[in-house]
Amino acid sequence: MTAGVVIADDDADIRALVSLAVRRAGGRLLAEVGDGQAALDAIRRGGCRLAVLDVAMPRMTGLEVCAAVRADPATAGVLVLLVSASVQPLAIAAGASAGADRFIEKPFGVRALADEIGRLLDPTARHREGPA
Amino acid sequence: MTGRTVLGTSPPCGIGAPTGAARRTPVSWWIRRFATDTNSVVERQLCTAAVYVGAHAMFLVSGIVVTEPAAVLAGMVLVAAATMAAFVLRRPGYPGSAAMIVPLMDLLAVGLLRAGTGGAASVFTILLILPVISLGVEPGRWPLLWGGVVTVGVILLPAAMDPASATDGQWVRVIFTPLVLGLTCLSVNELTRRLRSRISAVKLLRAQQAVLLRQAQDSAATNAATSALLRQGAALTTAVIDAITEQAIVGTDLDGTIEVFNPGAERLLGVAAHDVLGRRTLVDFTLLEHAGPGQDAAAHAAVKALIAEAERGVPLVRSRSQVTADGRRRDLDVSITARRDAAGDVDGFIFVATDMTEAKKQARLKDEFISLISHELRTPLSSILGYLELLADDDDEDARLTAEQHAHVATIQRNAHRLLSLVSDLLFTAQVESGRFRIERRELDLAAVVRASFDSARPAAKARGVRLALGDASGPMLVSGDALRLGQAVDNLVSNAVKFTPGGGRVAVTLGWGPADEEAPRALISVSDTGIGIPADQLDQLFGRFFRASTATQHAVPGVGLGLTIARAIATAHDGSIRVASTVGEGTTFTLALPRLP
Repeated sequence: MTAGVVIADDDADIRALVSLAVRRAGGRLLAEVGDGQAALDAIRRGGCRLAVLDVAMPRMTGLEVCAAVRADPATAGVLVLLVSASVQPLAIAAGASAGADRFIEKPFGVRALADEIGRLLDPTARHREGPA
Repeated sequence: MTGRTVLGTSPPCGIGAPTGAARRTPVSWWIRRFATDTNSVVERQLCTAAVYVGAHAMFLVSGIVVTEPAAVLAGMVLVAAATMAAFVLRRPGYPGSAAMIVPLMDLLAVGLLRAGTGGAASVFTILLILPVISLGVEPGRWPLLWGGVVTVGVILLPAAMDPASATDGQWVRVIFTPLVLGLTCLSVNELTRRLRSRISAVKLLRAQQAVLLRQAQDSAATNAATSALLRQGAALTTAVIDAITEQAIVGTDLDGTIEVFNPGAERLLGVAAHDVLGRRTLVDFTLLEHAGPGQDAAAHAAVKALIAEAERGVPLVRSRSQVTADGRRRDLDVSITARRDAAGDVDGFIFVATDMTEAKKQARLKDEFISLISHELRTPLSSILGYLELLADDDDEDARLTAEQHAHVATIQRNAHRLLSLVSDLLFTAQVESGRFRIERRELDLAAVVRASFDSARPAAKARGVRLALGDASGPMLVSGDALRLGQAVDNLVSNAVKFTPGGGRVAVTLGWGPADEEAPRALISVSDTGIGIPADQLDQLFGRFFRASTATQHAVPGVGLGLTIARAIATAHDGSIRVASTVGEGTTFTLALPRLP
């Protein structure tokens, strides 16, 4: 059974790129949403193995969604990949403290993103080494 | 001479000193003069001469006859000569002891008068008393001796002139008259000596009094000047403190009671100085920060903690949020300094507060701007680069591009990357400007960083026909730093060198340790080119943001002038530095120096 993935980004073009990378990594798209609250709702509906979240989103930021996911025992095991356009070290540190598994800066290549998602989803390669 | 000077000289001030009014009335002047200055040999002689001449009126009395007119005449001449001598001898240049000649001459004159008017029976013997007293007034004992000798001679003079007159009774007179006169002279001499001594003491005391008076006057003048300076200094200090309207200056005593409250404090804290000085303490200004139950204890504890730190002697700067009297919340930077008395003991504290509210707001706005730019520029670039990657992807045979289309896509990709690089550089410099640029230090091999930058620059160098050479280090060069950022700095230096070197030129990258005799050996990365060079007068501006050397614009070398700014910021963040040496038309060498791993 392929892993369910929730994608959240307020930019539809970026969502399309991420969904392509998810498909290339062998993931199954559960939901593709444009804000943080919708992403959290989708994750809570269950079946989500990985959430690819943009940091800057309406209603809830990716960091807030990540913190909420980690705080809920039902969703605490969901993998979180944060995608951000910010290059500031503080943003990266904030992602780490929110409990994200990986942090990728925009712009990213589809191939590189697919590889990253693949590494996260592949149980044999999975090892919680902390945020990148 | 000294004695004469003392008695004959008016006191320096006070008694005997002729005043302006006295000078205008000659009679009173003379009275004062004779009352206080009677030791002039001239005045004594004038008195003696007057009495001597007046005594000649006795010749009108029957029974008093002149037996030897020549002797009387000689006595008169001698008195006249003594009077002239008195005038001469008072002039400067004659020793004081010379004045005793005058009474000695008078003694002889009286002796001659006595001899010419009956010898031992003369009634003028009594006149001897005048020169004897005059001699007694003279200082020292020599006048006594000479006076005694001359008196004996004078008494013997009638017997010398007429031996027949020397009867037994006359010999008694020869013995007793000089003895009585000598004792009289001795008494006068002793009295005047004592008087002279006391006058000397009085004069000395007066001189000392004058010195003390002058010292007191000088001291008073100095005190007045010091007081004026102190008042001036205090006024200046007050003026300076009052002129500081953008910073709050608050001075307190040891208990925190406020003693100084400048206009800046009034403005910043919203309270008038007259409502604060001596009435309120620091705790009052801290209460608002600790609203709620137990606020007094919390405020006291907060103030106590601040003061305890200041008492340690190191000036402190603390950022704190302060609620003003009108309820506004201000962000303050407060420096706290202990105030010490002359003995060095802490007797209060000085608080200088700067309102950082606007500065912090600006910093927040800047951060928000950077975040906004990051998001709004980098997100569309993500789409552009992502879809270009898909477009150039040859996996889908049906959508495979032609070679020409590939070239077009590559051009778009290259320019998108340039745009991304520019955005990244702008964001980087904005971070540096806002003081928020941080590096993540780790132990790293600088040789690997330099090699990676060298490899990255090779395609561009090859494309421009520039020879690229790497003088590799003999082994790993360990430093503490951020590999990503150091790579960025070296990338900028190498890519700049390639960019500013015409085809056929050479770029050499070398790596090594600085001189071993340096206190702290440094790793040196040197990038030399044979490029267009930089004018000497522009070298000091080279690391400024957006600065481009005139040679760069003349040769139309592309760029925005951020690469060196970034390289220097990275070097500085690593406690390192960048030096540059350049000659127009010959080339440029940049040297990046980094501290060795301790």
